[in-house]
Amino acid sequence: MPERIFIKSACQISCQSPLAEEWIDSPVALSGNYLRSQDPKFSDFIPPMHSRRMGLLLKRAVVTSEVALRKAGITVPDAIITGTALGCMENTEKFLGKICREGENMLSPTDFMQSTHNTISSLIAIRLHANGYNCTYSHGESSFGSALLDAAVQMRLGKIRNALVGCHDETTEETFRILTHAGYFSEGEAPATELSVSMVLSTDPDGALCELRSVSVENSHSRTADDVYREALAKAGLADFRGDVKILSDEGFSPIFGKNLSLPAAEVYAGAQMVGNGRCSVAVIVGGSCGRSRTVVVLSEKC
Amino acid sequence: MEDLKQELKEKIIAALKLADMTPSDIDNEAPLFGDGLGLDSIDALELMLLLEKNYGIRLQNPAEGKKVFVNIDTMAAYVAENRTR
Repeated sequence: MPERIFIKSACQISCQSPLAEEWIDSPVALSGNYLRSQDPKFSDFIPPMHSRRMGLLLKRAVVTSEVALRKAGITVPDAIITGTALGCMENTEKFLGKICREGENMLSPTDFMQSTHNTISSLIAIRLHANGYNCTYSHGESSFGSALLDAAVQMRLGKIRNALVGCHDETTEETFRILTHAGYFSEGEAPATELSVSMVLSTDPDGALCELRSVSVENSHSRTADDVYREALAKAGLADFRGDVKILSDEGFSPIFGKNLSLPAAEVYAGAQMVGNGRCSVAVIVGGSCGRSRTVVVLSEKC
Repeated sequence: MEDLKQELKEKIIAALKLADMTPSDIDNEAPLFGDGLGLDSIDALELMLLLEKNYGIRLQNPAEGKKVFVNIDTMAAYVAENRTR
């Protein structure tokens, strides 16, 4: 029997006020073509001796994860599932730079360890002493959708009761330069930004923001937007729903969170907050629609 | 020898990103691992790298590191005796 799945908590560090939902009523106006995130004071969350080896992305991921878990009232999740399109770029750039300058001898183990994509999920597990399922998806703009889908499938199979699901990407100056050269970022569009989003999924509805009705990752763009929304609602068992439905897409959210490979995670976070505080009854999220795949998620009020 | 100890402390703080510490916070006789500075096994690898890069000393045997990295005094004595640069 499929379990119902709820989003218990969700939080973000982005170009908007960190770990807060001020963006709903008074979003920071984005300007320029490249914006770093507004970081919280990390020492309020992580002792300096523990954070000394962490790059910015790891600190952001640890903080959003631990805040989301605290809000959900969960100490150790059954699973930690992470999406990241590019991994820890700051450390990757340091590591590759040293290889180019100094050769393959005498490379720092810290830079090497933190240049791998699964560093984020592993570090969170080490800090929490979480020995359960731990997985990282690096599938471009569908990284978060893949992580969310994995969590939902495992919950519906009854293998886990809750999961920490996140998506984290940083945009260093070098990453910005390369992705601009590759045509991903361009002038006249939303600025390039960074995102760290964490949320806790659970089969327990108590205190949840909303229900996760459906999630899918699609690789085809052949269907029209109307067909996508209609099919998503039907798949979620809401084909005949006539209440307040909000459609959330990259076009609507890139002016708030900028352009970033983790944007679909921010859209699901935003949808969960909007449903959770009564701004709408149902949210249909179509994320990553600029790329080769899209993440389609339906959230509804708990009932 | 005192200059070498001061230099080692500065290099350790930089290599291990001990941002909130100054050389005067590190006692020459305090253990680097465990109850002293509280360093761990990854720090040990970074210290081995520090010796190789700065003093041309390559520790072949990890057990050797245990004797060398007891504290600043033992580290400085080993560097003074074995440095090639």
